[in-house]
Amino acid sequence: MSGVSKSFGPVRALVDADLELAGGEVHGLVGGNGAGKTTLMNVLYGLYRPDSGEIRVDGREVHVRSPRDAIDLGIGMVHQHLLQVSTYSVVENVVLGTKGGGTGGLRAAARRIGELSDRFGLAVDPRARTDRLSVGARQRVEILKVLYRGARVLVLDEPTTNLTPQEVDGLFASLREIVAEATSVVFISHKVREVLAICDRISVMRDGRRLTTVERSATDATGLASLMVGEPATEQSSDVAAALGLGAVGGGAAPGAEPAPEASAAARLTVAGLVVHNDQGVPAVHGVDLAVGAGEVLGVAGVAGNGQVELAEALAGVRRVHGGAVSVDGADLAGGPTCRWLDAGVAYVPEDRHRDGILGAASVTENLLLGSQRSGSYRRAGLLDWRRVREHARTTIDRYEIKTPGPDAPAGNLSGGNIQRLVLARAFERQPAVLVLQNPTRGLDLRSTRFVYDRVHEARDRGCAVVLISEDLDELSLLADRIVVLYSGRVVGERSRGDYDAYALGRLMAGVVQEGS
Amino acid sequence: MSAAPVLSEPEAGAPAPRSRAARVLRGALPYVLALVLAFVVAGIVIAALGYDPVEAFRTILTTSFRTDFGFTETLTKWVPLTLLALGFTIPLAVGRFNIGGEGQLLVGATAAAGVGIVYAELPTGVLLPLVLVAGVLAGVVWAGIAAFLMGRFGVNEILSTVLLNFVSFQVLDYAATEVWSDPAAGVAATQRVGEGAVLPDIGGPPGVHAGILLAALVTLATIVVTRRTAAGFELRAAGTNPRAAGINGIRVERVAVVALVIGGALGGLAGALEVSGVHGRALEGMQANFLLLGIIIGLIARGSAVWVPVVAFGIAVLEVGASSMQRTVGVPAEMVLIIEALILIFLLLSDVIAGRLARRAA
Repeated sequence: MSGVSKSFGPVRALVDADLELAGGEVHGLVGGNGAGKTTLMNVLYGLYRPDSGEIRVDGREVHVRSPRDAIDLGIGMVHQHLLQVSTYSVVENVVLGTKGGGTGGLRAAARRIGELSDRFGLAVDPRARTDRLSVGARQRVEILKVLYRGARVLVLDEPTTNLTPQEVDGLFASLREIVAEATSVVFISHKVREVLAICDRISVMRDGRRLTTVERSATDATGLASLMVGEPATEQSSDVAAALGLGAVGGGAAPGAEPAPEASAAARLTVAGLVVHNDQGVPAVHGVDLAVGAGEVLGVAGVAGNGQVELAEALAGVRRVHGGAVSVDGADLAGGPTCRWLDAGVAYVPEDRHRDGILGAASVTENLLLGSQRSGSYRRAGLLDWRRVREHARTTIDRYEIKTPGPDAPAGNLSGGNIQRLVLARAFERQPAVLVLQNPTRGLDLRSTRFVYDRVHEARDRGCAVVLISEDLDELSLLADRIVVLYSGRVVGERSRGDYDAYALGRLMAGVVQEGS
Repeated sequence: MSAAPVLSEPEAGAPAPRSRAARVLRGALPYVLALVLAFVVAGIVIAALGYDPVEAFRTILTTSFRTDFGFTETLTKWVPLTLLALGFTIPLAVGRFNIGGEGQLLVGATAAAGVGIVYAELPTGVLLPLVLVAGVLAGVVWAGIAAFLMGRFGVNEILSTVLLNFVSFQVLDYAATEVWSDPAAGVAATQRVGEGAVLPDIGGPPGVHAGILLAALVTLATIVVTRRTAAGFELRAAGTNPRAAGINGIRVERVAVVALVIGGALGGLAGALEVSGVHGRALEGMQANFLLLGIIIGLIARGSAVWVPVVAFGIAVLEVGASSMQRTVGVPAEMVLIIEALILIFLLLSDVIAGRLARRAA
């Protein structure tokens, strides 16, 4: 693949990206969230059509217009979210979309699946119903499906996310068998240790480009981790810092680096032994302890998929707490409904602002009201006082400089930066005691980024306990008084301001080293 | 299974046209087109059957307005149609489908008739409210079963409400043939309720039963609640984006349960009004095709409580015109159901086409 570019609206997901895959190798594809790994592979698999660029298979230029084209070319992909018909048997799922239907066909297919699963060590019962299988077994079914169609290129998108360590070992053994038969594997992952354990060559992506490709033998965990995380003063991040007028990251003179006003000793937010499950019911956060004082900004660093979403949603009272306690100003909130968390002063700025932040079809005014609709200040004689709601919306739109055609415009039509302003405005108007933000500046331009940073400072100065969950180390270094690193759902390290070393943090984030925290 | 495509305003997302008039015109265009196309297609069918389409349509559209009887009949039909349509659209606002309107109507009617028969001696001031409350409560219980199963176990409410309709047939049948059976009625029917359970007529003769005022009141209350109260706001928020609503403290599942129960209450009320205002008893087949028409009305009105009564009136006109058409022109009355369905289909089709055009323009 070469010169591949792809934009989604204003977002440039791929910029002149390229990738070369040799026969019979396991090729690692690593990089932060939004680096373009999955997008690039979706282009290869025909799910997205690239704006420009070309794909060659065995030296011949091809046009992949749909997954069917990709399959015909011998390219198969296993997505992070398994796409299966859950009431079908394994055989039925495997032959689905092929021409091998019919009862006789099914029996022959079952035999072939048995052969394939023996040959590659992908243990699975062809007659089992898919919804009765474990996540690991369902993933083996997906791989079998690709092999059954005679793929020569197998793309695995973060295949180890929901697997146990034993299942990961089994998967790696199977991958070795598969590449031994001249099939190539693309292994998309965030996890350095796994990539080093299985891959022959590793490509690092960042900002929609392939940064470099290294031989497994020519790199080690530290080297790869620093490539993934990026130099502490890359061209781009120093640009950001300069544009924001913040000086060098970590420099004491920058306004963002001022020490917080003396954080009070009593923690406003206390988290003890927190256990949270992901959507598949698999534990994603294992016994996290945190304490955040008034006027303190706690940074949570980590590569995506290590329990950040689950942690954020648990702290916001949105996701069920399976174990442990979360208390705000001494009151334990675990197990309570979301509205009780809101009443306790918890405000949440979700990562996916379109999906979780706004009512897209509702007006800006209604979106600003959301969550406060029961508050006394908006009600008169039991009815909503729309005049007051609208007045308040107007002043809020001015104060937070939300660019909208008007208070009645649908919120879904606003730009990403303005949606984030809206979400922040709503969070701040509640005078929060605890503010939980996840990747609050992703995809925002400099002005909006600066706006977000100013609001975080404002919250801190007001005595709010801030939890900033981010994948951007520069952002964390700039804002946080303390950084903890989350890896595989556990806190694996902690650093205080003045002791932020991107390499050391990067190693922690990649799970290369762990330290008793 | 979001209801968004059905409920989305046609102009949402499209660039705003310049003037207000242009916007109104653009909003009305799909409705006008759907109406015209539905009548054109139905006209072709009527002509193919060997009848005169012009005469048929003239009868359909004018019967309600030419005679007092026709107009009364139209208003009488408007009551259950509006109530069942609201009973469908309120849960629809949170993306849930109440397909149990006729079951809720029948158990409401059975309970109302039961109270009206057992306490037949009570005076109007006591008995009439009792009868109506009994109908509402029966509807609440009936929808409550489906709502409980949905909220507690995640049982699909479409299935449970539809299946409860079948149970309700047997409930009415049992009451009408075993408990309060009236052998003289000719069909399976209960005895007549006491005089105190009968709603007075307004105007006339022929007059419309006073239940129409209650239905109008309920419609007004629905509009006020959905637009002006916190609960109504939560209902709409939960329907627009359940994830964002949940994150902002709205208990989406509880809102859905309450909405479904309210839908049942309206169905039960419709049943009680049919007993007290129209039949004076509960009888087999009294549900007519109110459920189906209620759904059609709710969808044509796009879930808006303001438009439901308007559309319901239009459908009532067609329904009353239909029987007249069968008598005078000879076209089967079912033809009107075809027209109603065609209006809805063309309306939904115009949404799809408008969406495609907007995407192409973007």
